[in-house]
Amino acid sequence: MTKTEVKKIFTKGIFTDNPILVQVIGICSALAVTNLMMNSLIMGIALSLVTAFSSLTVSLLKDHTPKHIRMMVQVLIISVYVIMVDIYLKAYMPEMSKALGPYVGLIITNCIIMGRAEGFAQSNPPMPSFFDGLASGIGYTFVLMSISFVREILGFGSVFGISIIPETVTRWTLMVMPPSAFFILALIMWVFNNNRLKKQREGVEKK
Amino acid sequence: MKNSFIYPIIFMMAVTAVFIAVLAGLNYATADTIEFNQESELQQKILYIFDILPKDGAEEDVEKVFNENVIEKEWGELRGYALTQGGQETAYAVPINGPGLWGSIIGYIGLNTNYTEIIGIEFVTQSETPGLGGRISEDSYKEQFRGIDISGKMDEFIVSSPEPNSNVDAIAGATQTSAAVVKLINEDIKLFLQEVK
Amino acid sequence: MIQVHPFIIFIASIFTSNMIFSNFLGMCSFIAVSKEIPTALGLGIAVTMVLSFTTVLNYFVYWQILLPLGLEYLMYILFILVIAAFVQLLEMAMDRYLPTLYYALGIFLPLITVNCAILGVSLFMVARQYNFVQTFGFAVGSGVGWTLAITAMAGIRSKLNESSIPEGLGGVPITLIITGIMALAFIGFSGMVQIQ
Repeated sequence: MTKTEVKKIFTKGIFTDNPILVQVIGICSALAVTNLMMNSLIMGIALSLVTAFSSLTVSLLKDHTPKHIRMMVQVLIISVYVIMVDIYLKAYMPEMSKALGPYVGLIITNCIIMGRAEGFAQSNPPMPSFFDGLASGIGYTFVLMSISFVREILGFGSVFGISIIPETVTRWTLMVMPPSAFFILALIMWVFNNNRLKKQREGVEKK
Repeated sequence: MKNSFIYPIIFMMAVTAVFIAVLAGLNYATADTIEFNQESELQQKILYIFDILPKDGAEEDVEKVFNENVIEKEWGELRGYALTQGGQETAYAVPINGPGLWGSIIGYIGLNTNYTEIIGIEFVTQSETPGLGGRISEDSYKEQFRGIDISGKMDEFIVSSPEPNSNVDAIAGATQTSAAVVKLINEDIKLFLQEVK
Repeated sequence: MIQVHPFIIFIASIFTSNMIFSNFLGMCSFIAVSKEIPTALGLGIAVTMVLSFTTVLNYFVYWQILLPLGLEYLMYILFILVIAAFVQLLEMAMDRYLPTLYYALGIFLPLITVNCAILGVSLFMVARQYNFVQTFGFAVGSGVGWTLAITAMAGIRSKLNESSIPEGLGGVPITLIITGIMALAFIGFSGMVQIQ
């Protein structure tokens, strides 16, 4: 694999084809765990690893997998890796396991993993699939961290648990509640879309 | 071979078997650690109620203190714990639970052996609003309960501000959770006293 | 286990603990398919069917197979395989008997398998230790609630076509904002009914 190919995969996963902002998938957990930056980070790392390894495994098995049951096989592979993450958290990071709660298991249904397995890993070699999965995961984590940065600092006055805003400033409780995630994500998408539309218009004008 | 009817079934079974074997191995390797974590968490909470939780203690220290000083105790259908010192029971941790704002609140409340004083409280499960109702798990709320006198009372053991004669402060901005907690504590202490008297 | 009447659980999962507005599960297809009322309703009914059958099946899988054999750690795999198998069967049935709806839903029919609401309901059922009747009420209610949410959103979005929305906000962002506002309204229901 050439360096440019790897770079292309990462640019796609993180920017041009960002799973949340462009493809609009994997939103459920984006709304639920973004109240604290630490939770988002762990969730993002978990998802990136599961996507990367699932894509790798799907790609390794793709030549032997019968066509009709390939979705079931993908789902099976994804659940195995998620269970591994769940066991790891329960054993070595029990506080985090409790904080993320049922959303760890729900990584299985995160459309991003299925999307990359079906959309890329099913028809590409193992190492590019691994990087593709990792790139989508990083793009996802990036968006999650942005949302949780706003939510944590306005709702709790802290960043990664470190208090920044003094207690005397009233906390914006709405930020702690899930609906705020909807609003913040919508705003981030708005900025992102405007940027994209502007670039498109400039591209057309040049012609 | 790939297009035959039997191949997908064999493939699926083989892949499933391999993966389940891997998971079974992982599960076996970590089962003890996980169980230990869960037990340790409960032990820490009970020790907190009795105010003998080792500060900055490792889980092994917690286990040691717990095993030396705490035994399980039952009152009718209620299952809790008793603090023993020198072979004598010196305090009890009584189970409490009830509905909160978002979900059930479950915990234990510590009483002395004469049932005249509350010695501590701790929550095992609660899903109240983080940063608001969720603050019932913070020390600043829980420490209020230490030493509250309930001798001679038949109900309303805990009275929360802004009621007159309050012995506990509600959490600002978390009216419903605060009220729910007070209600469930009062109900469960009453039930307990009916059981033991 | 909590002592709540299954009918209360049913009503609560439609309104006060709605899968979309209170639990934020099932968002992907909710956002993608809520453009027109007929398709939204069709998907909602399909989701309700899948939810009702698979949650009940998973109830038996958990209590009769996983727990007695000490295999709780395989819960995710077995639940999702039950769901995947059922959706596959539903797909085949729809292709045969309801081809128009089958084509209208397109890729979103197999995607029901990865609808977080479906796995989520099964996981909640285990976490809250519902008995059989409670599970049934919870599953059907969650489906009805999800259908209500997506159909309501489809109704709102069809009206939106006549409004002038800034270009960058159109499509997904404005849907998210509307969902957020509706979720805020649903917070008003919290504490009314305890089902967990």
